[in-house]
Amino acid sequence: MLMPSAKADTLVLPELEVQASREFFFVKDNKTYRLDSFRRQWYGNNHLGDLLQYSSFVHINNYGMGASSTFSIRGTADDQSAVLWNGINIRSLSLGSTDVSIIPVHEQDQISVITNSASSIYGSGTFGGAILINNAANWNNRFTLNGKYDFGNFNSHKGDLSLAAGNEKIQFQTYGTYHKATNNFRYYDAYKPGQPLSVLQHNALENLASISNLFWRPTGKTLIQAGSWTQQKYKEIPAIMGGSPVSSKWQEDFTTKNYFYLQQQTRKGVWYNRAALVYDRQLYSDSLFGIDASYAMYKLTNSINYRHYFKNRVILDAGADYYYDRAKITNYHSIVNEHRAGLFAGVKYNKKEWTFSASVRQEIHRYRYFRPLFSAEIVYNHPSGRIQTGINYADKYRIPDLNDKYWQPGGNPELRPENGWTLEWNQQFELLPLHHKHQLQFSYSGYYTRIKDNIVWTPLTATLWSPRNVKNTQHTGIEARLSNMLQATATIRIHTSILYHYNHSTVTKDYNPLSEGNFIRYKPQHSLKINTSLEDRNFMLGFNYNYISARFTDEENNPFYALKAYHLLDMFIGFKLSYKSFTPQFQFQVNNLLNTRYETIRSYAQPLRNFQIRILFNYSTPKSKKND
Amino acid sequence: MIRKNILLLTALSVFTLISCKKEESNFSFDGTYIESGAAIVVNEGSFGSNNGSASFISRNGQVSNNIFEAANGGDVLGDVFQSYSRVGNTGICVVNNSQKIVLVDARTFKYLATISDATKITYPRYAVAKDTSRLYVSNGSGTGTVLAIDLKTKTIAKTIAVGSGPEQMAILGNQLFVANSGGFGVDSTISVISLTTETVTNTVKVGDMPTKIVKDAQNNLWILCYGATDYSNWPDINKLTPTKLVKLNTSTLSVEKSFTLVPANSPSYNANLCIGDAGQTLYYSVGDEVFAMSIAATTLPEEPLISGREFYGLNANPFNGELVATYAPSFTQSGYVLRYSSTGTLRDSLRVGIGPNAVIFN
Repeated sequence: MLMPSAKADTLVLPELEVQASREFFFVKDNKTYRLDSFRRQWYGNNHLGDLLQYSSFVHINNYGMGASSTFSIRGTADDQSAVLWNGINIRSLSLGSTDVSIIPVHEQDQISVITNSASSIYGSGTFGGAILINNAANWNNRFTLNGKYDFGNFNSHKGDLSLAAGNEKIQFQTYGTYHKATNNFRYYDAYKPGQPLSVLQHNALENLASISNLFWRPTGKTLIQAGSWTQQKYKEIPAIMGGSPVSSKWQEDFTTKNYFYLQQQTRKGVWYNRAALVYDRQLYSDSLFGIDASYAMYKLTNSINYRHYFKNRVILDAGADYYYDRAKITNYHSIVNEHRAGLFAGVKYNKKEWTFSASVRQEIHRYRYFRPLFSAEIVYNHPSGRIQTGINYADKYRIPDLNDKYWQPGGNPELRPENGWTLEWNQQFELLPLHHKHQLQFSYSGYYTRIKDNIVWTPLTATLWSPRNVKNTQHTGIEARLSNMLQATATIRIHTSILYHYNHSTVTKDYNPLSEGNFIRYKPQHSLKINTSLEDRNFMLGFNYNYISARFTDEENNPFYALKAYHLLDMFIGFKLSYKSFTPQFQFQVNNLLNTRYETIRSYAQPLRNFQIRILFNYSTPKSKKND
Repeated sequence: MIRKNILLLTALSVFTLISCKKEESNFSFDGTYIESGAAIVVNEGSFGSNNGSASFISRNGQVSNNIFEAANGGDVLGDVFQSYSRVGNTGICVVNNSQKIVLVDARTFKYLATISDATKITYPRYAVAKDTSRLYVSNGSGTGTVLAIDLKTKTIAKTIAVGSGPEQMAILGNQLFVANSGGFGVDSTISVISLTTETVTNTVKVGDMPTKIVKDAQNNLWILCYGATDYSNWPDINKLTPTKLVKLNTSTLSVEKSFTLVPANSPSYNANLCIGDAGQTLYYSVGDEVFAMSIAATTLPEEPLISGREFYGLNANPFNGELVATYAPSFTQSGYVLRYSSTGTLRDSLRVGIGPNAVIFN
């Protein structure tokens, strides 16, 4: 809310809104799901994919333990949703998708899932939504040191170390992680007669990453932030089920992402400027097929916007984005250079319980004209603060990936962008009051998304494939969440959350008429996730349950090739001690307690019951009283 | 413009196929898949998806898909079902990307055994049987081998080094002829193996990338040499060296005839070869045209028998002279078997599994 000040010509700008980047500012009044630190602590141990799989509506497909993982929001494809790290879209330029298995998660991260993600705000490729990973300064922190050592089945050893230090003017955070595992887990081979118990081979991984952020506010109105993320991952790729366990494939990924962010508050507004440079390199080798493929890509992103706070509760936000992409990929004719830009403007208006917002974006690209993209939202907050209702509409688009345009042979530079829109309705109820010993929340969202001109690689001849805009899809569904927190005693707290997602994603038009009306491959109709935990001062016990319904794996929905529904149950238990500023913890986690045999991608083995043991320590020096 | 025409053609082909297809619903299994004039369709499936499958086409054109799954409680055949052959009542299924050979009862398609040895069966392609006790499997995407398999013990008895990327094979008398395609490299030879000693006795140079091999009525071999990828224009690698049809005299082990089907530097296309009319007539396809040629011909035919469709596989029905072709619109959807009269008139199209590459007659 805007706070008129005593002086008629000045405004006191609301700190939370000022701090919110454009990506947050236009969604903060409506449904945004932020992953809590408790989930991050338990499931962030491996990567973002693991975390999302258990604690959000996001559906994860992965190629087995430690292998690459893609995600799907609301039944859309893996390249139709985005992941943004401190405002930078980190998707692969060549494939368009984001491998969430190479994104480390740390308690310093704020992770949010945005579903009402208008392309006018987020740019290309957010039909399903966007996952935002942000780092923010804790200005009250003086010194914090966290360490974690995790070991488990399959020779898995992982160590994390993080440090945060500073004062109310400057804060520095750094985080490093190293993970090594052979991942030679046991599984039942569903594609061999008798489904024999087998051991996966050639599945080792080695991952090293560091993320650092510096926050500086030289004055109360200026914030300067800079960050760097560097990571190297080597991963052996095992054979699929059904055949010989021998494989000669491996992949190595290297990335460095760097950004600079400046936020300058003026008398009635705020300037935001962000510049980022991303370099990604990947090597893929398969000696059996004689493949040694490499790619290297640079992405330069610049974004500037100004947000003005008018006296009449109107807020205007306008700016421009500029992107430069450069790719050197074995199968492209030459080095690819692309420039594109976007102009956007948004307005938000608050009146009592109502918030209206709208935005428009004009994409500027040399190869094609884009029509303006619009979004609009209305949110109503009941005066009691216990009911919120919102409805929003958003235009969306996705620019073809570089592979789609430049891959040789077959790349098609004449492709149109995918385009569509989403209509969403959501409501949230505080069934029991906030700040009470018993909190009960219920929320649900209904959505409808249409996507036209989906890009599909199809054969032009028996040996030549090329991408074409030949498919339309629609995605309908309901997401419902029930969250309960009971403060049973002064120290005992019980959390339970139940997430149910119904999704009906179908093909409405295709070059293959036999797939029209069918379900989209790998999209479950039903998923149910139940998380429950009991926390005492020094003790934690929790269970996570995950149900995913059957999924078709081919376009014609042949039941012979469908993946069966599965149930997964994980258990975790932890003990914590406190000695002055030092807090050691011991955690024990059992994954797949029920020993379920399951697949998320056809033919790729998943581990049976396995264990993790974790030792953590935390040392923190609180803010001194004189600074309060 | 060419691209648009190809798109239009592809779309028309799919619609035409669907409009005249026969469904499998009227099929009734009478206890055996071994039936004169009936055939097994090899459906590769999509790479990495373990959905290779077999379809059965009865002599009167009824289709049953997923016959292995149906006979084995839903178990699947594997990843990239490459080829099928039969020796007695045993069906030999070569499953390429699963690196295994699956033996089934050819009458019922019930599973019998799997032959797998990760160190030796690395990239299996085709199998031919000398008799009910000896099977030969071409193997390798680079360095090539022929695996001599003892069908009694179901083990690899001997590994015979041949050229690169061995593909189809033929047995003539006591000799095994192996087309060395080069795999992911280049080769242009035929290895000749003595079945007595199981050693390579000769290597004959033919055209680049020999892949298909058929035996004619005079006990000579005809070899389709697909042409090798021309890397001289890198990174434009969509060009090939000439595609050739070569006649190999199996007595003198010399190339007796060589026809250039497609000149060098033509864009990539698909090509097939089969033989019918009791070994008297060759059928070959290049791109979207199918030609018929007598084995006695001295020049290539000018007029195609069939045109307008590019096929993934081609065969002639030895029982009624029909020509059958497979069509794979993509590798994520059903394929089709098209049946033509010997004069090239389309009779019907049958919907089968994903990526059909061959129709094998009983």
